Amino acid sequence: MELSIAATAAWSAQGPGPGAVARALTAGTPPAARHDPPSTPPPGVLDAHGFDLAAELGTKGTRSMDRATGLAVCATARLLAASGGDVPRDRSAVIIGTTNGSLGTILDFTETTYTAPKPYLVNPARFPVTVMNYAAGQCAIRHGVTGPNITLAGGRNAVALAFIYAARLIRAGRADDVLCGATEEYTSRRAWLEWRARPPGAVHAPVAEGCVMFHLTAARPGRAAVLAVATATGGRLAECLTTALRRAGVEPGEVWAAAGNGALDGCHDGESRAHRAVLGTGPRRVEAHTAVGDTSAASVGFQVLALLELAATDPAAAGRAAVTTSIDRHGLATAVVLRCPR
Amino acid sequence: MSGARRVVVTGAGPVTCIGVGRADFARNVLAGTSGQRPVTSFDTTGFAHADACELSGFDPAAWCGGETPGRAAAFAVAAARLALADARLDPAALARAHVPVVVGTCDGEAAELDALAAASAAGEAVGTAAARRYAPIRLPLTVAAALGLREAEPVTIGTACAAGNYAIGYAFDAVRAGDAEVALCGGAEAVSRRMFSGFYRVGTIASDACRPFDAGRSGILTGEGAGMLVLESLGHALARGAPIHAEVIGFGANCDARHPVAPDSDGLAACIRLAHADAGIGPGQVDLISAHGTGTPVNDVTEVAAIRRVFGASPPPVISIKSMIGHAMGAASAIAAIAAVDSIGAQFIPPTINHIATDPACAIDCVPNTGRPARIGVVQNNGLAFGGNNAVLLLRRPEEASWN
Repeated sequence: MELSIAATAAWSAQGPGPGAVARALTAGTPPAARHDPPSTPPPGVLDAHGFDLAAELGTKGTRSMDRATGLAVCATARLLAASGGDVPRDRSAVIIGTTNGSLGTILDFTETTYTAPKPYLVNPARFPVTVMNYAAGQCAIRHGVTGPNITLAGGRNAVALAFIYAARLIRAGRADDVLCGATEEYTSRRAWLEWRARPPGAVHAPVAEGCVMFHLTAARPGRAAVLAVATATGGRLAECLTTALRRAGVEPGEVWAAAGNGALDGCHDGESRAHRAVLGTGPRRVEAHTAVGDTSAASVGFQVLALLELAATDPAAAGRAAVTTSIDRHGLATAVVLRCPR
Repeated sequence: MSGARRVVVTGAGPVTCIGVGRADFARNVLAGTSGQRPVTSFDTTGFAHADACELSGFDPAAWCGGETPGRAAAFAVAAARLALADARLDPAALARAHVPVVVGTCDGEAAELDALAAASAAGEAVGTAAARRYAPIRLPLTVAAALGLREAEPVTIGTACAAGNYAIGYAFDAVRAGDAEVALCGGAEAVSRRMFSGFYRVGTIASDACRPFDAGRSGILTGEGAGMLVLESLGHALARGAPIHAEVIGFGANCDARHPVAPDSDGLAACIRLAHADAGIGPGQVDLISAHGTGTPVNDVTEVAAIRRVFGASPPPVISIKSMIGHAMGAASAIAAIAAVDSIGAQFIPPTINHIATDPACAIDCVPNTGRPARIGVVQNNGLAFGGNNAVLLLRRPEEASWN
């Protein structure tokens, strides 16, 4: 299924700059969470640093826009610019991963039906924003991308699932280029729901916003690549990682670094055991959430971004493989095998 | 696509307000039964009119062992069980097979989200279980767990009202390329106070009945349910002597990239052409169009304009089953695909009911009120969505095909 990664773009607690996530990981200082009770749950939250929706996108047509959509539209603009601006929009697909769209907008809108003088006195301009595919639609509209337009409600594993989807779209000839990633926003609603949903043993990470986007194409030599993705239900992370490596044709000894997010859903020890069992103790270990917080559906995207950014400054990475695994609180696991550029 | 496998529909599981299971649904959809009734699943105090197409009497516990999931997931489980039974496939036989389980949905566990908002309005705290239950990724995960599909590839596609067709398209590509021999795909949706209120506010809930293509149409009725299909490689289906109901011959998806909610006839026409090209057919080979056909003034005019652009002055019959089952959002095009399979099997066109007088602005033969026999070789199934999304599926009668 090999896919080339032609460009990346992101906006997180580390801001929008290329390399920002890797610099934060290398420095090892976690970003300061914002505590604003009762709006924020105990671990605090992380905003996309410096992201001002109106300043980035103007005020025309953005008054009702949620921040997750704003981040996605903005990251897609940066992605297209990073790709040189010549991506044929009619042959490009958009895939946006999410947990459940803009939960804050959904719940505010619905709550109004209980509190307004009449149940239908909701804000009509917010209605389309309550629908999960608003972000993907806005990315297409504002950048003129007319290929398949997909919203993938994959939760923690969304970006790994999006890579599988992207490979199928390209192989089936439905798109030549796929603009693919995930976005999540800070709202008090989402932050509290995420906090309450955490299993016992989950790390005390701030609930974070962030968006990460990848420009994927059919395999082109010399570029960073997604070699394989595997999924497994029932929490079978080690099996999932083994399958992904087999599909990629990569031996465990070729793996330079391994990222994981198990800590976010209380699976840190299980993940460590799985990585050790499959990969041994050789690979450099990366936990992107220590730099960007718990970005929910964007988690795997930030793990891939962190690996690519770290590889760019680590001579040991050149031409080797990197893996990233993910496991959610429902037992769904995914593994992605990447090839670092030489 | 070189080396592509042919893909067939061997099972279908409709869970709708006019029938649960193939025989029940086929009888009613071909007969033109209306599923319209007053809303009971949420309090409608304050709305001047509040009919919908709800599943009354659906018992999640009858379909889902153990902990009862959300309403949409329960619909999906029921539909998946029915689809596998229709395909004469024992789930146990798929326990070790790589099976994409692809569920399209507009609003995921919409009733769970309604409950979260109601709790918030009442100042009640939310527990851990409620904070986990709404996650839409649980739709395919619940199906996989209920059926023991250990090697499922779970996918939730949230492309609003085109999600059902998108899910079928995903499974089609997976099987066509040889990634899987069998896939389960379709859509699931539960009615919600949110969607009802939103559509009511923007003036698109029908005041009396859903009348697609009618001069007096006033909008949609919200609906719910699920439709899951078993897609299978032709080789796998033939080897096990499976019933073959239809062949999936093409799919197309694109985005108008123009307006957040309004459809666009240029974009839809382009999407129809993509699907035809994918199937290697021309418009003259399509015998029936199952329209998105919501019954809003703008959808029906735009959709018929797009159809005319591709098909010329004399398109095939264009029907809307939303006249019977309302708009089941993310499940709508999946249920419509099952109706298309039933039309092919019966060689009979389902009617567009509640029809009084066709709107000259979207003049087509919508087979008003009474269905009729017809030779149906290929059915085109349209799905449109907010965000300018279009997804078109093409199904062919198995007798039209040569399996060699």
